[in-house]
Amino acid sequence: MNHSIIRNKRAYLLISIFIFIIIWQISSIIVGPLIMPSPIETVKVLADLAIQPDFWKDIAISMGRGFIGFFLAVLVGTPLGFWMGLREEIEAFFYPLLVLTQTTPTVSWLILGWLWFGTGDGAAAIFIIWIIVIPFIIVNVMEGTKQLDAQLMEMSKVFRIPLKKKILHFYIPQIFPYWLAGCSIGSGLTWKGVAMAELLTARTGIGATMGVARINLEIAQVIVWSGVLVLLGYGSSRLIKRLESAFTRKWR
Amino acid sequence: MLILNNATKEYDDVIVFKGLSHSIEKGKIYSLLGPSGCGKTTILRILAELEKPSKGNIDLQGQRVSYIFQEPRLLPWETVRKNLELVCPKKEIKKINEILELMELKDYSNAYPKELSGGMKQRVAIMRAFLYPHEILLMDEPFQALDLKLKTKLIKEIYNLHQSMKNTILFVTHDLDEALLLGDEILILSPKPAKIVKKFTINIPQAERKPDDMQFIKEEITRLLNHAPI
Repeated sequence: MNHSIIRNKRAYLLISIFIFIIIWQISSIIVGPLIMPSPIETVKVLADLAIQPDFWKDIAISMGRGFIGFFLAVLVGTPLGFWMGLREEIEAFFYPLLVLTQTTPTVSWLILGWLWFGTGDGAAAIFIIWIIVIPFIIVNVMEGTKQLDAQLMEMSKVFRIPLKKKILHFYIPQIFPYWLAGCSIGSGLTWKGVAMAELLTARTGIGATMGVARINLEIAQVIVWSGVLVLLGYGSSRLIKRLESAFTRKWR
Repeated sequence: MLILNNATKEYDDVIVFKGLSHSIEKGKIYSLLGPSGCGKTTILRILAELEKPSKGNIDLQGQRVSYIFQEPRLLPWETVRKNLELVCPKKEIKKINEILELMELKDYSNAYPKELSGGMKQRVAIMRAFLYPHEILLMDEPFQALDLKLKTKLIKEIYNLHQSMKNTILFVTHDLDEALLLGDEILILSPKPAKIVKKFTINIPQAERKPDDMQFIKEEITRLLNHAPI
């Protein structure tokens, strides 16, 4: 029974992809290959690009920037969220900054990043990813810290659990799922943000290359690069899900 | 040894207890018996320094406190062994195997709490409380959710562990049978604001006590509980 459901799910997934390709093909026929290149043409462009070292170099550069920006957001956001969750006065102090980063439109950060860091080595892109990801890490870690089980924390107090053990066995396991949820949202934003930031502020990387393709009206290339970004986003969200189930599988 | 000295606890308008004093003798088991909501748990929480008295003070004279809560309060993401290791000093880690064997949970040492029944979880909590180095053990209605048979068994196990450790136990309950099965002394508390209205000393050895025995004391305690002065 269970097996057949899984099989069905897979079948539906394949049907969905198939219908998508058909619609793509039909629209290509209707509007013409200049506006909408056909799936086969796009695959050909992908094959041409994939044999060029620059293709992989651009992906590596964007991944590097994405990773650094994301990593820095996690590095700063995790302890800050934890501290804000533990102490109300700290939350109140950082609250205006949190709201500011949460509500400022990405396009504002794009322009500001570009003006502050200029174009070139990708510092602007790293900054933009950092600033759009960090509020999600902070909010989730803060929420996780506020939800700490009061009964377990009391138990740790009665048995005078030393701080190191408390962090390892009380805080981390309870906050980890919230942290991962923040990372999951953050990783999605990272790959969207990296391309956008590079388009405006960098000369290398996926976004910058997409900008060149746009100027040259190479629509197939734009589609290929979009596909790469989709894969990066999907891959990182899968990785995070795996981490979560590896962590909770045994005891939940 | 005076542990509670003229202690008062108030929350806003509610006086939980006022001017409560109590002394203990090392190695004895005290059953604190009183109606639900009379402030028994608060007394234990103050002794465990989870709360502060509004007035007066506690003085445990450097004695360490261990606790069996109403709920097992095990870490769900750690195995039984790890839950015990967390409170057990390194040099006494060998004791974990001994106590697991004694409590018939050796086969479950690598199980997670979700794989255990309610009674088994509470037994792990009892083991944890005994493994933590202490002189005074506070027990807050730890058998509440368990059936009579299991309750009697656990009381026996606790008594045996107490015999080998000679710790002082303060056992809070609203169940007369439990109190009589385990306590050397039974302290009867009045409803809020709680005070000790009477003290009974039980001279029958714990091993020979049965829930149906001690009818005379039972009747007197029931009368006291029903007519406890407010």
